[in-house]
Amino acid sequence: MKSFFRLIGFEYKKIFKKRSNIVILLIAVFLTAFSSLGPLMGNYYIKGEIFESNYEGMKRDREYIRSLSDREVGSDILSEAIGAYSLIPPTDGKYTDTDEYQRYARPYSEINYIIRKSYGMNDWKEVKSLTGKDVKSFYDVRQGAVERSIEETTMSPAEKSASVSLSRQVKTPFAYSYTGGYTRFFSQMYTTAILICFICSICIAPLFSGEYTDKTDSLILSSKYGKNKVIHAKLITGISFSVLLTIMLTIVSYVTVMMFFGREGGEAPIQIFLPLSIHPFTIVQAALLYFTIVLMGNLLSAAIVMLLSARLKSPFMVMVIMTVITVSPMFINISENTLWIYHLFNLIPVNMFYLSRILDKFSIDLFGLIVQPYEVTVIFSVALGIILMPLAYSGFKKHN
Amino acid sequence: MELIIDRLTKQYKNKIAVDRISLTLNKGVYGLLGANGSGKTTLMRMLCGVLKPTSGEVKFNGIDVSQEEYRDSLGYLPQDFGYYPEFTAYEFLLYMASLKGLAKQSAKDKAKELLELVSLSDSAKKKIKTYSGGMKQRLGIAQAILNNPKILILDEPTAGLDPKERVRFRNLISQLGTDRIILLSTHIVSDIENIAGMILIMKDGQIVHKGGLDEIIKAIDGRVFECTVDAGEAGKLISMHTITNFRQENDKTFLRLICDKSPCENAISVKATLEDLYLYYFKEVNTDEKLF
Repeated sequence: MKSFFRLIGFEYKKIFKKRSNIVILLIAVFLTAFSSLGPLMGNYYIKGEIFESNYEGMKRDREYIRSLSDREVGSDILSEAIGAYSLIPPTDGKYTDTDEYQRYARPYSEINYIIRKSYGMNDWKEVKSLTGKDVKSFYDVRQGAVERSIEETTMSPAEKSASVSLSRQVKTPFAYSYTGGYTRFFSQMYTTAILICFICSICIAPLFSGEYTDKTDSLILSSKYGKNKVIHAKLITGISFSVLLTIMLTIVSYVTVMMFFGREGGEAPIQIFLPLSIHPFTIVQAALLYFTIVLMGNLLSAAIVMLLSARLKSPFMVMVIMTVITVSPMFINISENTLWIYHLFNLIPVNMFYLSRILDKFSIDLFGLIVQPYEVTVIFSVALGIILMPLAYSGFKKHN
Repeated sequence: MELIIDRLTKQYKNKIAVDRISLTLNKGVYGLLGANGSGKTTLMRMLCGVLKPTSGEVKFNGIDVSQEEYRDSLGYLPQDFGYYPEFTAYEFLLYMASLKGLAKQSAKDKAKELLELVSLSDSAKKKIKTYSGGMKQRLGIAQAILNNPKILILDEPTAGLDPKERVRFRNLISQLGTDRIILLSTHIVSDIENIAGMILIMKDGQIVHKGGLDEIIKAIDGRVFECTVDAGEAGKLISMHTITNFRQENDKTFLRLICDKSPCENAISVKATLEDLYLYYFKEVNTDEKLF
């Protein structure tokens, strides 16, 4: 066993002895931290003049929302929000540039978002039309909107029923809370996940094919452990590198975001961020689920990289193919009408990284068993990874 | 100790690189001689389990080439092999020792010992990318013998070594050859002459001749002549016979050639060498490398 860990150590040494890999990892840490704080950079302008810096704006919003925290999302707070938005005068420009918005409505901007999503309003002005009676039936209206959105899909009756049943497990009333840190973390994690995908491709691609281009394959394959232990060591290195990189960059994202935006709100329901979500998760549970899915996506991506690395002759080709696999799905939009294609498309690693898809309204009937898309993602990643690993193993072992 | 090669064949589409070779190798140094493309490297790669044969088998003391136990007994220096440029020689040997299953302390001791043996102790902590070709070759030799192999396969081991290093290498191989099987290929005929107890001549994927030095050169015994002739006569002899040496001496030409009977009046019969035999066997191949 000791020799196995020594071999893993040498595989890591090969990765970290390359100066380019160190530079890439440092750039990744910097980019992650920098992009986490991206929304805080620059200023907000009204009529061509600086109104406030984005950092000041975030702090102000945070204070506004904190002043409303721990209140129930119910008729009182909704009525206050509607009242405040009613004070905004008609304007040809952006309503957020008005003095009334800044003075009265801004503290309720998130409440306004929840109202508009729940009541199906596209225009902020429509909020004014809501009456006290409408507001009192907020949770019924929201549940109605959720169930309508489920009904409008092409899911089977069993799947629809499962989604409706799940949505009814969401606890009401919602406790309102400031969740700015977590919501920024959710937005940032998509960028971080893609970055991890790219870096893994660059650093892991030479695991096998680098031996071919360096002409060290003959030495390895003719050695005692060359056709067994060292291949396992390489596979474990690829997997553990992917896991460690995901953990590291997630921590960088989390810590940076929480330091600047604030870390409270973990116990709030996810519906504060995604008002029509059918999942009865708190924000922190959603964050953990998101991290798990990002980890799974990157593990699958690492397994694909290693398979390509063992089968192709150069790391460069591996990187080119992985870039195509990572980038091209971003330009393809698959309709939700043909659900099996839509669900399959969401199993491409880079497509796993959308939180809105992870916590979407769909349930999936998998040979009679009703499962959630995130469960399918986890099962698929593990299963495909298990299939790809032996193929990578035999690819290197049988390399001539 | 017995390495049995049984009807070993490697075919690439319509080209047979190694053609039904059967050999039994015991303790000692075997020199594999052959022109480029004769199948030497292919044969060696199959003996190391790096290349899968089309048919036939290789067994060492009954253990198949595909087994870990076989590879545990093997040391291999490929003809064209690479290193990890960012590794130091010491790190590289430790890595190779791990691949060969040596325990940590034993790997450290052995790495130091072998770096000393191949005169790389002073450069042990330098990155391999700073090494000259000869230093890399010496490091390659060191990694091949890290696990004290019972079978040592060396493909062009003396390439890049200077004459002094070559002599040291020959001595080392002679020492090692006393208790293991060593198979080495080289283009440098004198290396094989000096260290190989058994010479294998390979041509078109087959072993066309094998035996000790004296035995093997018997094939051209009494057919090697030296003579000094004028330019006209030299031209005629060159076109008719295999020339193994040629030298201009004032207005005359010195020739060493192989032919069935004395080629001219003043020709004298001389003792054949392995180089004569090599040139005789491979006169048709590599025509672009002909002496004339």
